[in-house]
Amino acid sequence: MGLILSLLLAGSVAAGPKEKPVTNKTKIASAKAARAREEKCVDRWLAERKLDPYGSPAETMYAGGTPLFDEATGRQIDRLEYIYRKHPEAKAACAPAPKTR
Amino acid sequence: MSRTIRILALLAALAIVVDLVGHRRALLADDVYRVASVRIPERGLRAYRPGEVIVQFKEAVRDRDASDMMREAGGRSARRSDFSPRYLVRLDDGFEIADVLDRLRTMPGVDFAEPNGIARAFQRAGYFTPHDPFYTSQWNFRMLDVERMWGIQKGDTSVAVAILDTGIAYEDFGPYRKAPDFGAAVFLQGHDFINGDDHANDDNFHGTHVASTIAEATDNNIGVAGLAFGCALMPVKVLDNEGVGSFFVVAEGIDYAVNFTLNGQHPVKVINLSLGGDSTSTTVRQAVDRAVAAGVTVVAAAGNESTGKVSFPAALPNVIGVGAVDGRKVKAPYSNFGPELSVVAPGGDIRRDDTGPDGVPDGRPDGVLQQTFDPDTALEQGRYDDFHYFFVVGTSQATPHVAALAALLYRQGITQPAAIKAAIENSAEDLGAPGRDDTFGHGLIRPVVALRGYGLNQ
Repeated sequence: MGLILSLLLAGSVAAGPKEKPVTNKTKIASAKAARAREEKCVDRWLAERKLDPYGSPAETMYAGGTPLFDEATGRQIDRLEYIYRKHPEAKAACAPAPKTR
Repeated sequence: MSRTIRILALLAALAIVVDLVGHRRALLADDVYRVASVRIPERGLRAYRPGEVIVQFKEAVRDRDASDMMREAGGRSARRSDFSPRYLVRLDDGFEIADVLDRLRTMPGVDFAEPNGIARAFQRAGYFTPHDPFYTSQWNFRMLDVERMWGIQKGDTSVAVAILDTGIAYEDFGPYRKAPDFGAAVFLQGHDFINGDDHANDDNFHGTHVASTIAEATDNNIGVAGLAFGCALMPVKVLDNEGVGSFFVVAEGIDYAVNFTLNGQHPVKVINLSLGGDSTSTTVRQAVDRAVAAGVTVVAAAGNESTGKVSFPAALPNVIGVGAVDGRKVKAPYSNFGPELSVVAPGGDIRRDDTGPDGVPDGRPDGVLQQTFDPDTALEQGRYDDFHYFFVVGTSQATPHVAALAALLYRQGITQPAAIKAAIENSAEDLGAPGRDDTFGHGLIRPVVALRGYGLNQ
């Protein structure tokens, strides 16, 4: 038991606790940058077609001011997911290709 | 050996599947929780004496003509007041109070007609406490000190609020049914700009819930209360069954409500817009300008994306743009904010439980509780009669609180939209940074203070 504990402790020291958060931060920053690029692409795609930020004609009005918030559940819907459901062609143009082996 | 491994792998896979199914069920249960529906009792104390209405005729009307009109409307017998041409009318069998009132109110010699309400003792002086059983779950009303507000003003049908939304469950027509807790609420002739007819029935749920906050039948011992329950409502359908509309139809709806006349009067004094969009529109802006110039106050939702951009048309300077707070008077997580925000009102947060009948958590979500039909039943079965009480959250729900207050201020004698807006803003409870700020605007509305004229003296 004592051996296992000391091995675990040794492992945690050897893993380098200072490096792990940096890796996560890098991953998060990279994901944020990818999301920003995707949003920019979608916004351009919508603007070219004179659509509003939710993929509807520009003159559209919504209950509660947005289709992304469900007042019955209090849940927010992701804007890109909402647009991709309505316009799969926007997904084809802007969503990153799925990773393949 | 390899067979044993295969069996173990299969069992492990099954365990994962079962676990996933379990999680899926939990999510579904959470989905169902949103409804938090409460079935209402069918019977209880009545707010009105059954089979009776009061009608007052104009002085010039002769007794014989009054008698003919009462008979034509469905009256069996009538008792005249000793002091004025006012009658207590007993209805013939088979006549509904609401139908008789509708008929009487369209007759030219009628000054007013109303149900014969039951007087109850023991109301505290200056207060009015309704006997609706789920009123205690309306934390949003408690936050606004509505019992004192009703002691000052409950509204009457000379003031109407037009609800530009997905329609209202206000009549029995085709597959649509009137929401039971609208009771004797008065509805003016509306219009459906989505389907192009005069039946502005709700096919979504949203408009009915919004309208209920303003004028749900109150003190009828059914369900919940409405803030300006004495006022009339006008259903104007400008959003489809998915809650989507366009600038054109919204502008049409505004013009319809503003131009509507009844007995030579323009009863619509307030327009409730629990809707908005990302873009601006000259068509809608001009319609709003026409409404305000005609003396109509326009109240609109700030929007639900938690962004620093107030939705259009709430962002227009002559519109009262409304944000939302939760049960703690904290900005609701979804509520938009910005320099155009006028005030905030209770919109709730369905993930929180800070409020209950005694001001303590009650195991129910802090949404705004009103009656509407189940949107899932409507969507899946095409039925619009599955009425329950639903906790709903959003700036859509905050907006009718302000629209109702505006209606009561009109009834208090204020006639100009700028004065209504000033009264509401100047009387608000300052929240957040001192003075007006972009998170709460001028603050949380305080109906009692506004109705006492405090706001106008600022």
